[in-house]
Amino acid sequence: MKNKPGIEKLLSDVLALQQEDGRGAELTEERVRDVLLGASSLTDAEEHLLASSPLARGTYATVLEEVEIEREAYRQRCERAGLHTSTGSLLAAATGQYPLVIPSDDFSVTVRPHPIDGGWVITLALSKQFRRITGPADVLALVDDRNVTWVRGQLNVYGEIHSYCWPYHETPAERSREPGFALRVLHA
Amino acid sequence: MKPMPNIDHDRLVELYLTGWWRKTRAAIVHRFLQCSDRLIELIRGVDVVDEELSRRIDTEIEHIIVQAIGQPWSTPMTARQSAIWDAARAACPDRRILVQIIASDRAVRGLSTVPPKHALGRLLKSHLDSCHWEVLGLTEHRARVWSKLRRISADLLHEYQAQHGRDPPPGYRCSPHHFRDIRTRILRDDLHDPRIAEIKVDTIEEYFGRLCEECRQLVRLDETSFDEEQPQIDESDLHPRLIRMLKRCIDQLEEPLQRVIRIAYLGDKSWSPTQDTGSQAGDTEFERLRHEALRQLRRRLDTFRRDTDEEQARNRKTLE
Repeated sequence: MKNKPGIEKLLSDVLALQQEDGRGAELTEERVRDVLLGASSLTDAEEHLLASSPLARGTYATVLEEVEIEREAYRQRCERAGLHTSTGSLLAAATGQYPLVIPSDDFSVTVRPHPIDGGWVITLALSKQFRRITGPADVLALVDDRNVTWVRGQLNVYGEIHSYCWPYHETPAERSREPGFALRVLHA
Repeated sequence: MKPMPNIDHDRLVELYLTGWWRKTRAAIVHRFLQCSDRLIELIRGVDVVDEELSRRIDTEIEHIIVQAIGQPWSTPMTARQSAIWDAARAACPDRRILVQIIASDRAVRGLSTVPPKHALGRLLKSHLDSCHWEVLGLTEHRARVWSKLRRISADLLHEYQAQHGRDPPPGYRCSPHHFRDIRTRILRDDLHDPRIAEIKVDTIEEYFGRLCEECRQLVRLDETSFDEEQPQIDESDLHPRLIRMLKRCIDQLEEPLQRVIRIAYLGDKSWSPTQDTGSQAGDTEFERLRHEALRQLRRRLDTFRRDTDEEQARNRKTLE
């Protein structure tokens, strides 16, 4: 049994003897999965359910374990296929012209200005081999060297995922010129 | 809460006895353990369970079952609450078998290093799974699933031997670690196999518990409830939400109880040592206050839930 810091030990002791009246069954695995994959967030009622129901927490723990196993299996699939899921550290290549294309062995990232609203459109495109090992239900994320997510979602029929939410104040070109800049694809 | 599709009661009960079985089992085990303090005390340290004690254990288990499953879990109940309660009653543990298991297991009687309640939880879980399998039987589907699981398990064992030049440690084949490895392998290689692609770690464990010769032998050991790693609820995964709520609850406690919590858990050294430290009476009083503080914190966390329920009910009324 691992030693927990004070507040966590307190939480364990408080929760250990909670009553379960079956209400925790209201929290379904589908909902927890949506939350863990970033497609949704917990409502207040669900948060309170987690705070008060061992059954709800059991559901949460089960789904969390399942999601972690899925990530590990996906990592192993990529490894077996010899895929490079990361760009490694990129040299400052961006000229400030758009679209900005960041190529890599098995995927590419394109950032272009949004034609209407002044924002940015980010596109992650996977190579054929990468697409082959990715199922329609797999949720992927494109994450940079600061662990900030650029893109998250499921592949469309062209093997792409688009995002319209640029996560920085600085422009994509400025961001990509910073030392140590890199991108990697994860199973989300 | 997101609205759920309407499923009729009988179908829900059926789901809680099949696909959602582990939820039902978790609820039964949790409620049973909550009522088991007297049973644990009754058998603590007993070396041999004689007939008289068996009778008393039987009576105590009957009492626990009534408390844990026999009465409605709350009033009123939601559709799912009502269904899981009905499923729990249908999957009620067999008193006679539980007495036998307790009589043959040393850990549950406090004669090993395993906490007795933990041991009782393991025994009950295994017993409930056993009843569950007896009801459903070994269908053709299950036989095929088992054959696939056995093949993957054998592959993993061979790979281990090839990699390390020796067999895996004893018990690996029946460990949660192995079940997780099997699940990972299925997701890696058999993602499109409809029989096993969706199988969960808990269900794999059930298959091994019932059908793997090695696991069955382990179940027959004297200490059935050996202290294996269990899938546990790790509260830290739920941070920071729960911690935030808990801190609010601590702030609402009365000052002496807040202080006890700070000293017992949060590293506060300001406890006035004067007459109490080291004395048994002081320690006992401190423990009493700690338990009271925990009880109040538990209640306050529940109150958060009730407040939300009431708020939802008000919102519904307004909409109507």
